[in-house]
Amino acid sequence: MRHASLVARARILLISGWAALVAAIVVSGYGAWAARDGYLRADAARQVELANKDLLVGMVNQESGLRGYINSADPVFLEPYNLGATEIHAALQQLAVGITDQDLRTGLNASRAASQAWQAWATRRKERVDASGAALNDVSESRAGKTLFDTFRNTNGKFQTTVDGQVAQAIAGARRGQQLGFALLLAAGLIAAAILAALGRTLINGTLRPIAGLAASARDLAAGRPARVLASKRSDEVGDLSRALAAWQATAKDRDHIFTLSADMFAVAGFDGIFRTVNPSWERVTGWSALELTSKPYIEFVHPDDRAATIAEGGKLAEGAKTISFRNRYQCQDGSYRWLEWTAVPVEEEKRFYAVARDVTDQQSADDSIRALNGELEAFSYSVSHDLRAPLRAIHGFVRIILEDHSDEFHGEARRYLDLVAANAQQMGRLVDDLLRFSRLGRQALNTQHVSANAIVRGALDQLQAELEGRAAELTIGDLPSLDGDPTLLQQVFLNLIGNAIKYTKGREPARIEVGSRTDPNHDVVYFVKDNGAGFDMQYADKLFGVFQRLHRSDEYEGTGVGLALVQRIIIKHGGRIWADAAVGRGATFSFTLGGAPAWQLQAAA
Amino acid sequence: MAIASGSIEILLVEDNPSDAELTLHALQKNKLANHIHLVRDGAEALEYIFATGAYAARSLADRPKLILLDLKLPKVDGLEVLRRIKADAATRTIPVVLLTSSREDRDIVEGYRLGVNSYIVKPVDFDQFTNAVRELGMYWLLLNKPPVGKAA
Repeated sequence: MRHASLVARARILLISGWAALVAAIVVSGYGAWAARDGYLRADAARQVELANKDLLVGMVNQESGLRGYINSADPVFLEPYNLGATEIHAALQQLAVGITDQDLRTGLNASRAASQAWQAWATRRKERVDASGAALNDVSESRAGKTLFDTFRNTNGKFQTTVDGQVAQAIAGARRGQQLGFALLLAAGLIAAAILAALGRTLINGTLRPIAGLAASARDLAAGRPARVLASKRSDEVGDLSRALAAWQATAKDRDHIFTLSADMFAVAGFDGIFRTVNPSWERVTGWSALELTSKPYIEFVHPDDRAATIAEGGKLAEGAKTISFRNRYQCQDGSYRWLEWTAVPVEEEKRFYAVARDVTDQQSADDSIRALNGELEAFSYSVSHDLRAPLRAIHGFVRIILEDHSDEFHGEARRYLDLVAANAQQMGRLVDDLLRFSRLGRQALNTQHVSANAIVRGALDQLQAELEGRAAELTIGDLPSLDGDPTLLQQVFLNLIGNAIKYTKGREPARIEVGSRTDPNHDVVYFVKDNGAGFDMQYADKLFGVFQRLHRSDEYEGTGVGLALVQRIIIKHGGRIWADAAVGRGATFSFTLGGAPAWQLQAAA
Repeated sequence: MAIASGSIEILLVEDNPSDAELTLHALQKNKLANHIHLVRDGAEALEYIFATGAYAARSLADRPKLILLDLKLPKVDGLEVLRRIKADAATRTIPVVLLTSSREDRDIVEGYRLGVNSYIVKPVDFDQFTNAVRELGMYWLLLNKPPVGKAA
């Protein structure tokens, strides 16, 4: 589609209008000029006509005066004769000046010649009367004079006719010019009117009406009323505008659909604490209508216990901070409260914030019951810690008293059995302690600090002095980078890993244990504890970190099967991962990193 | 070991008879049990310490040199007994050792907050238990120098 610009079209029409107007002015000017010229010429011709008439009158005066003088010789008759001569002289003078036209000049010359011929004759006759002092009575002379006068009359009449023709012609020319001027003026006026009408139509129908329509649609859209914007096929600016508006409406419609259909609760609120807009989900969840929700400060819907926190959160929003996972309780129309979790973003220039709330009442009650369950679990482990250990202590204690104070009463098998009772009570005591530590870990929050790994390893080794006594062990501690984590828990990790290494190198001469670090390809720091001990078969590696899973018989290496599960739980809690490499009889290496392990690895490891 | 007759050296507050017997055994074995008085719950412990109820006839001036206190006790629990001892100027200076099965951090923290002098987790292993009792008996009864006369 070729783009036809409205501006270009209007420009063409305007230029045409101007051109028509200028043409009309020029043409009518020409008409007026032609008419004036015609009238001027007619005027001049009329002057000639008048002068010619004066000539005729002068001639007639002379002729009648002369005739009286000849017949009577009375000088009285010379009065009109002399008057006529003056008149003729004046008329001829006027004529000589006023005529430029060639035809007229020829006519005039003929007329003048005829008049001069008669005047010559008349002068002669007058002089004869002057000389004789008596009337003349010669018919033949009179006839000759009459003939000369008739000739003059003829030429004068002809000239008169020519002049009349000239006048008529000039007037006709003037009329034509006038008519042409009028006609062209009318035509130019009509053309200008047509162009103006076209311009008006273009402006009103082609531009202003569609724009007014689009403006009305835009107003409706802005006010949220239903509006229909059709993308026009027009190839001009109005078309562009309608298509842009239709496209915008389509986007707005998508947004509206999301806004309307979302199960989440959308709201736009002012920093003054009043909702501007809420979506239908609000009514679904709270039972309040949009009007009720937007007609008073939202804090009035908030549970009294949550108001202070809500106001504080609103204050942070007004200072430009985002709200993430903020929870409060909203009162519903039926008086009950629902837990809402908020995400909100402020727009400071508009002094408002855009918020999404999610009804997390079910989740919250689940959280509450988990918390309650955790509380019960804690009470349970507390009770286990206290009550389960007491009988074990009694069993072990009394068996030991028997063995020490009454050893002479028990011999052989009986004594061995009592030893076994004591050993089992001890083992169960360790199991209870390990389990407690393991379960407590799940509930315990991380006390994360930047700590020296070397200091942590030293602390662990201090606690392992008893195990190292009497052992030929070569212990190598590398230069370990410091790390971010819970120092107590990380010490437990090294305690268990190094403790295992000491345990499983029993019988190795010398036992070699290395604690070190390296950087993996992801630039994460990997810490490892390596030994040259019993190792294990890698096909059982998946059982390594399970609770109560053991890869060795307890008569080979004692243990509860909780240690590595505890270590893994600590590492995962730090967002890291742990793995092992080993071969039977050739030692084991346990490696871990606290660096960001991918989520799937965390889940797979958990 | 010369210990003045008639005066109570140790008040043992323990509801579990086995634990009580094992503790007594361990003390006797280390010759620290000449003057031990055993009470079986928190309420009785308070009556004894403050010479009220069944112990109204007792002289308050006759203070035990050491109190071994279990945490989980019938009627009044160990932490409450501890709180009452440490709240009273007359008894505040008596050394109190919490001797308990609980390894819970909150008990340890609360115990120290209330002013306990030692906190011992009773080991399951009897040898360790005997050692622990001996060491604390030695320390508090023989090595530790209590303030002269009654505290203000």
